Amino acid sequence: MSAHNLTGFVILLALSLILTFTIWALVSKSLQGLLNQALKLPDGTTFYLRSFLIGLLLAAFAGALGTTFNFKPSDPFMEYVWKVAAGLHEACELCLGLLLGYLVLVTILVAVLRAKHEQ
Amino acid sequence: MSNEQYLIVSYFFVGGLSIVIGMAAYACLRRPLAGLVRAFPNRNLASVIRKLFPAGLLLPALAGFLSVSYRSCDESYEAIIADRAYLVGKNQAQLSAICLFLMLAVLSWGIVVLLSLVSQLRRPGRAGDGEPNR
Repeated sequence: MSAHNLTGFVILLALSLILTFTIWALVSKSLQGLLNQALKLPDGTTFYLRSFLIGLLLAAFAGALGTTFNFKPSDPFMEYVWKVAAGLHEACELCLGLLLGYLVLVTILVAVLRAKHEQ
Repeated sequence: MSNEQYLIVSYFFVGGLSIVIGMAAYACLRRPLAGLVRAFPNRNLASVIRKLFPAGLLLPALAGFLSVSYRSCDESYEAIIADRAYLVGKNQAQLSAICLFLMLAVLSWGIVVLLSLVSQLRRPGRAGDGEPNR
């Protein structure tokens, strides 16, 4: 892999990780409060929070690594930009898929456990 | 390093890396899961979940690695090793598949734990502490 391709890949990976940590920073505190309230088990909260973070990181890596940079140094700059955009698109799709799956999971968890705790 | 040497080294390196990534995910989630299943009245279920958990993360990581094939459209071995960029691309595809399969496995384990939690809360008084449900 040439230096140009490597730079493109590193930028894509960095952007994917920034996306992941932005989502994590936005959601983690309120998600922790919600899980504490629903589960009433500290280990349960830790398990679901960690699995969420691991899932987000894996989604970012899967998206970034799925994109192959195979350009010549003479290729125009915008080719690299479009490739980074395509990789970021894939990472966004995977993060969105994970968020949807997780949202459904947590909604069921909260609804079922709240009903059980109220009984 | 020739392309053939690169193929051999990178194949086994990425295969080993898939196990390392699976183990890392397991190491992160092992303790909270153990604490969680300790609260289950049914000890057998807790034991089954605890013992299946490492396999449930390692096997998807390995399956992701193995899901990528070097051969496409009946390419010969010589054609495969002729292009270094193709080999690097395949390594990236393997790593991407490992991450994707592992992400799905982690999400699936979340569902398994959810179902276990719900089933254990349903009949809290019926299963004796330390006794299996019959």
